[in-house]
Amino acid sequence: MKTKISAFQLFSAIVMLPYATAALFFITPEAKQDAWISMLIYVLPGIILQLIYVELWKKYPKDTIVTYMPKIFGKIIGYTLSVLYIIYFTYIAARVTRDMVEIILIAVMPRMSIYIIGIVFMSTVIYGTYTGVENLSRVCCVFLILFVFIFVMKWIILFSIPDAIKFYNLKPVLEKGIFSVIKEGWPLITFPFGESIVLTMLYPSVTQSSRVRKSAVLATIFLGVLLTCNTIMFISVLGLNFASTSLFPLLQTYRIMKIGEVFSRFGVFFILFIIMGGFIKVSFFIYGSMLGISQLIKLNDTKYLALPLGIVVFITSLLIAPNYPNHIYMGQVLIKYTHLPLAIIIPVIALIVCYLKAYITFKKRE
Amino acid sequence: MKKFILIFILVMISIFTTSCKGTKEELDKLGVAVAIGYDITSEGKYILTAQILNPQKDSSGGMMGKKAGSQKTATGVVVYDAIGDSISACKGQLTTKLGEELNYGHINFIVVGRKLAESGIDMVLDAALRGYKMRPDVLLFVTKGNAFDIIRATSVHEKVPANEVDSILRLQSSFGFTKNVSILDFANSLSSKTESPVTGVINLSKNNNSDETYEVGGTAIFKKDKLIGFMDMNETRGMQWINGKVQLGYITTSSLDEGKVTFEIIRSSSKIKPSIKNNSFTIMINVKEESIIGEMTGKLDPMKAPEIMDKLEIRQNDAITNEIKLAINVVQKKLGADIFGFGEMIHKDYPKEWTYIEGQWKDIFPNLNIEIKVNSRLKRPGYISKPMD
Amino acid sequence: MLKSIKKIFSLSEDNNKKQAIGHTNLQEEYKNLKVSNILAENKKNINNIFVNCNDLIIREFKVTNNPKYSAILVYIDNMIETKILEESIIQRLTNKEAEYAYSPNSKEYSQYLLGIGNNNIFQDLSKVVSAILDGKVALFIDGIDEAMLINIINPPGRDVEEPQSETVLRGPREGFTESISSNITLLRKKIKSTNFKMEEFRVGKETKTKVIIVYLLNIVDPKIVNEVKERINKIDIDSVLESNYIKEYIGDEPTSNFPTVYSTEKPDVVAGKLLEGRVAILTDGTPIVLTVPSLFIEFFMNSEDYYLKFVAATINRWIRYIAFVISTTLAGFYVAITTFHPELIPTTLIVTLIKSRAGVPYPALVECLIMLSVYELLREAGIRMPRALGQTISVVGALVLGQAAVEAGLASTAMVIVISLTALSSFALPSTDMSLALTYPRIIFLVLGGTLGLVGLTCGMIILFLRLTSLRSYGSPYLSPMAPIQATKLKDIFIRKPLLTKFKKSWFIKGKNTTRR
Repeated sequence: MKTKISAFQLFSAIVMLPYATAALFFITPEAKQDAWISMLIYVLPGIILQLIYVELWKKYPKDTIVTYMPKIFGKIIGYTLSVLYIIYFTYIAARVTRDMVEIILIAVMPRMSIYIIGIVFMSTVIYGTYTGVENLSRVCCVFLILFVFIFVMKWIILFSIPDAIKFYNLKPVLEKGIFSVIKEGWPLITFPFGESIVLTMLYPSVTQSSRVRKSAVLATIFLGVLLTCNTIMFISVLGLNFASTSLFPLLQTYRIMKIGEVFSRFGVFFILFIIMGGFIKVSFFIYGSMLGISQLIKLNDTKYLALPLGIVVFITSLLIAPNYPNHIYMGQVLIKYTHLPLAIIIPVIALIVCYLKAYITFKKRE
Repeated sequence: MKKFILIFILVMISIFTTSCKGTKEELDKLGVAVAIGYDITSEGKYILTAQILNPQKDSSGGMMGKKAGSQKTATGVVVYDAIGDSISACKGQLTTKLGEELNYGHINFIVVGRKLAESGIDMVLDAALRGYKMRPDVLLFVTKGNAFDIIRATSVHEKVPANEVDSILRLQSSFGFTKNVSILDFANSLSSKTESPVTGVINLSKNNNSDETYEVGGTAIFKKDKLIGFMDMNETRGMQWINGKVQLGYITTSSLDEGKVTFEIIRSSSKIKPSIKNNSFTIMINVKEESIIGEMTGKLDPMKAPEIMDKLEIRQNDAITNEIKLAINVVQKKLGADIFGFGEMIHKDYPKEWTYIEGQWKDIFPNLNIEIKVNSRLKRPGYISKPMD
Repeated sequence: MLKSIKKIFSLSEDNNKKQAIGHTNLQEEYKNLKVSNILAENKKNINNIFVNCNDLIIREFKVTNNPKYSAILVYIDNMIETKILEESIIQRLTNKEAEYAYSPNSKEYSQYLLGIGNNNIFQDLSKVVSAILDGKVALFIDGIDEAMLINIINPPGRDVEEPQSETVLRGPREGFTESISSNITLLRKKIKSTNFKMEEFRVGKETKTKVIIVYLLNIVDPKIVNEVKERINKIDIDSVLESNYIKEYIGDEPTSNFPTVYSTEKPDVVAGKLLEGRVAILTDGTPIVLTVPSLFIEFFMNSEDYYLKFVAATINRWIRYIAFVISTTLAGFYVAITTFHPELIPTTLIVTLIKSRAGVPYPALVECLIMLSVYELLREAGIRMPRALGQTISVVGALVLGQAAVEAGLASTAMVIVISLTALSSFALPSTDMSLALTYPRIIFLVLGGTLGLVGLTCGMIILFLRLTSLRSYGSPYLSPMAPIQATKLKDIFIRKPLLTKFKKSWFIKGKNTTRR
């Protein structure tokens, strides 16, 4: 790999990627006021997932997920899987683009043409991927620091407004028991935590290979903590019912925040947030599929795929759903049929196959 | 070079296409509304009254040197109204009179007329929450008459009457004669199965001696989204004692001897806790309060005999308890509406038991045992020690 | 059609070439000439070469006043210190014979009388001619086939004074001048170390400008030095009149708007940068010295930071960062918010904003562009205004940009404030290169904000950020230490730590590790 990323950049990418879209919504409203507990609990499966990815990578240190699939499963199945992964990444990129554009249209400027916003957004993303993953990671680091800063500020401001945070909204805790919480929350493993599979494409580029595992695990924990705090904030500030019905609880929270009487319009941060976060996410997904394609057809330079892929993603994002509810519904349906197998089941099977192979060769030697 | 030309062309295209569309909202083409009122006619159509900012364009003289005696002390707002089948239809109708699009981003409160409140404000609430430009902390009010009277009223010392209402509201949130309910709170109470939403009340008061002014005081109580009754100012303050929101104000009771004493409230707080006693639920309300003596008639001298302060405290406790009891009476016996969210509190602390009684809360609530304990402290007598007689 | 136009232009070029050939022929001829030992021949050659150069002076005299020993001194008038020539050199040469073993008509006599080293004695006439053009005095002695060069260069030039464009509140006020030798000396005064090395180049076919690179041997990364040398050697232009010509060739990203080479007029700044491991490039004829490699963050740092106490310095630094942000984004932000997002403006402000915008006939974007253009005009005019009219320009500027425009209805008061803030903050940056580089992003953000609202503005900022992170200056990423985050070194951006705490040598440049106290 010619590109070089530091461990901290990998950490920030793993944190930022799911956080960018997960922070906007109120995830798992079925768990009601215990949504934060289910988020916290699901950090553990998230960590296990990351460990699986890192283990797979350790077996083939110079390969990304696209190139070691054929090595594990054999040429036919392996290449099909690689192509499947590439299509998956591209599809997710299109979905997220559509998400972002829809959010901007709903929350900020409803009458703007979807094409213009889409083109502007995609141009930024295309430029980002064109300049390469090193630049993307650097930008990601800076954005992460900014996001954490805004996050802390949010809490401080909310605390300073009398009566904004009502912690008693979180009660009754564990009303339906902990098993129900775990059951309701199972999509969590795919939506925030499973998306970082695209970052397995980045593992070979990290310069300090020994720290990959530590970064990945720490990043997952950090991500889980951030999202848990987010959920707590939504429930306590907005109340459970409003948080579940509102499409963008983050925006509503921003609208309630004010310092004194004058500085009351924090909606600006929301716009900044979604564009910056969305940019990072879509860029990384496009980069993942770009890298995958260039590895499959043995292209040397990945830069030039940025423009065609960007256009493809943009057109796909326009075509995937005719309206917003359809789009969200498709997303929930998809979780069962695409996220789950691709992000979780196949890597697990791959790891098992790896171990089996190693065991068999070990046996053969004896 | 080619890249630059391409980018330049793109930029030009984007400028022209977007500036021709209706996406932009130029500041001076905005109809910035500062207050909105909704009413309903007898045929079931909605009336929308909007108080829109009308910034005076000072023609000559500019910003430098205001010419003394600027022409009119006229208000800086214009009031429009429109009739339509629904709230949004009203908005559309308004454009026939107003050449600008209504912008809700700066509204601080919404007034709902009594008739509309009685027939249900679900549409009002939905339009407010779903529309993307209204902030969730916009306050909701009911008036005993028609909303358009309130919106139309002019104020004496503010160019924008809505600002005056704002100042009253801000003060009242500490005085406790009305409750500032935002549409967010209302929505949350509405979606709860047992809690009754409330809003504040705003009226116009006209006396023979003074000009017509706003009067914000009292509470309107809803069942689901329909208005069922009012509480007057004292009862409202009782309610706010329970909510722990009274931070300013005065309590007047009879003093230990023949005179009267008024206490000035410094701060107060309250704790509500449900508990189970004798197989039924009891709500314990614990109010703490701190005050100083505001005025006193009679012959008592608290500086000479400090135990007078203790005795006065007991008087104060009684006075506060009476106010609270007034509120609870209205709420429990007269209207049967759980405006404090006692049901939700029981749900939070005793979830298992709540599943049994949730369905019958309507019947349980009017007979619910409520224990009130007030702990007030009287700290200082003010500037003088005893009344000068 | 294009071809015919091209032909017309090339025809005229051919004509020019023909004329030039005449000259070059002559110049090429003397390249092969050697100093002869017949004085008359030397004199004739010099006269031929310097035909039509009235300021060339040939003085004839006799060594030790002996009519047998003729010699001439050749120099360019005004380039030398005439007093020394008269009193010292000619005096010495024409004095009575000194008690030497050498005979007066030998080379050694004059050489050791005047103290001329062997490296200043040439046989090649072209070298002698270059030396004369440089301002040295050439001594031809009859019977000796070598010429000697004496260095008493004193060309007309400016004294060392405070530079106009970089004023400081506290700190040294010396500035570089146009003479490269005095500049080198100013530098050497600051760094009295044997590690202070310099290497000389001549750049420019016609101007043959002297370019010297300076570095500290024990700190600098030799790769950078080699890179710089290579790039300078590759420069192939006719004239180098100013260091900017060199800057374009050796700077890393010539197409980028942002400067990758730092230029300054003050020796203490250059000395500081040398001590951080950078290479300085001095050009004869200009007081502006370049330093390489240079990173984004340097354009916000001022040497003055180190002359003030650390709290004040930190606050100043933060003001600069805020000024940068304001200068680029404020105009776009204002236009975006008033056009697309009025709900983001606080209610009390919106009344005044509506009032102020009420009379203006065109949309906010157009208004802002017009005001910005007027400001740029004003700035350009202000630079060239003769000093006597300087006061007038401030009054006129205030009138134009200020009240009169507002009252005529051509601008709104809020816009005037926005533009003034933008203008002011662009000058808060210590480096003029950076202030001028900011106009380009500013206009782009303005257009983006005005057409696409905050969305467009944010996307524009992201693209700018990406562009900056992808720039490289001599191998170091442009936005270090922010972009590839180096945590320990990040602190120095935000606070200027007190000097008592030890801080390492400049973190972002790869070089030898020495601790700098």
